[in-house]
Amino acid sequence: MEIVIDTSDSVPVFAQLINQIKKAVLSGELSAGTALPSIRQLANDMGLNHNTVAKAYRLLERDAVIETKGYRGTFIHQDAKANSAVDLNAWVTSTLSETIKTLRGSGVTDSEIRIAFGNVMNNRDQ
Amino acid sequence: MPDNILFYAVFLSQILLISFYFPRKMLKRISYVFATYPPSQYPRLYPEPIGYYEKAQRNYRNLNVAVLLVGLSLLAVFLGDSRSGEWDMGTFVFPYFMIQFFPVMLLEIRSFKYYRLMRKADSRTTRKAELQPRRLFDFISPTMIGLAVLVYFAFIALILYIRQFDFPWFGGYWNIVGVTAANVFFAAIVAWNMYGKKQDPYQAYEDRKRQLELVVQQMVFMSIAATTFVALEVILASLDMRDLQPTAMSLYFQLLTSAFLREYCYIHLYET
Repeated sequence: MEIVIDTSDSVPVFAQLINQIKKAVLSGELSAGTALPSIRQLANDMGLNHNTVAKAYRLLERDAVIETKGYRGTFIHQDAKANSAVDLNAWVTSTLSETIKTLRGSGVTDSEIRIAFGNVMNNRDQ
Repeated sequence: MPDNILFYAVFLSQILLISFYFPRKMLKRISYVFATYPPSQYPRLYPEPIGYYEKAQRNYRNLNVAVLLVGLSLLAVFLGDSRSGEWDMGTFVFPYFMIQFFPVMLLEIRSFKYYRLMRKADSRTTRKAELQPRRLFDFISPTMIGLAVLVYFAFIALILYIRQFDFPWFGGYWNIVGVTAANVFFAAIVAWNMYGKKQDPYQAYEDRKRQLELVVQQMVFMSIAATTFVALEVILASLDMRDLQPTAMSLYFQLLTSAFLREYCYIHLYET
């Protein structure tokens, strides 16, 4: 299957890679156990930075869409189809919305929420 | 002189094959590509004005004509001089081959420059790639790789065997070092072609696969040929048949050039 990246798109390149691989898994174009090119090969073929492709692969591996089997290479995960349907970004947005709604309901101001969120993200005041 | 007739015939073949036959074939293909894919219809294939390529073509032809004349003059001297039978022809074969290979190297450097300019001129923001891993055995059979490995280990065994006889001319382990270095070089070229950056930004995936297949097969062939050639040189020397070494060397260079230029003609002109 062919991957097409648009470097002028507002969507980051690594996200475009992730989206296309997940889309291909969902459509059945990429089935479980299918071998993927190495980071170096894909980066060189697309003229991208190796770190960009590595980031996409890392995030796909975290989401259990792909798996790395040592020197044998990278493959589509057995549960890739189910895992590709999970949109972590949407889940984060909905969870945060719920939390913010609860906090506002308790009388916490937006400014206090922002400061607390920043502190938590920076591992302070935990 | 009759002892050298075989060498003269093989050397003439080297002159004609490398400095006449292949350049002629190459120039014909270049002209064909210019005529079939003219700059007016395919401007992206010509990052420089057409005059630049025509000049490069002329230079390539003139250089080869000069090398051809040098070779024929050298052969005339060999045939005309009665003392030539006493000369070590091996000292002429290698330097002359290097001279013969110079126009090809020049063309290779130009092609690197050409691809660099092509990539620089490519303003597309979309990038495409096949999501398919490339593996060595996609391009060559395991039998051929096995054969190359077998030849290499047979060569090491031969060197270890010859070492027992303490020949004064024998380089010993340096033979293994040299052949190993050559094989590492061939392997590096394969790796660079398989996993390195795509030279031609407009090359289709199927064309690249075809090109890779040629390069991999060529490098494996060259590895077998180089190892066999060094083994043959050692065997000829140990059998006190060193007179045949220049002939073997010339034949080896012709074989090597045929393998190299077969790929070269195909790839570079296919894409031009």
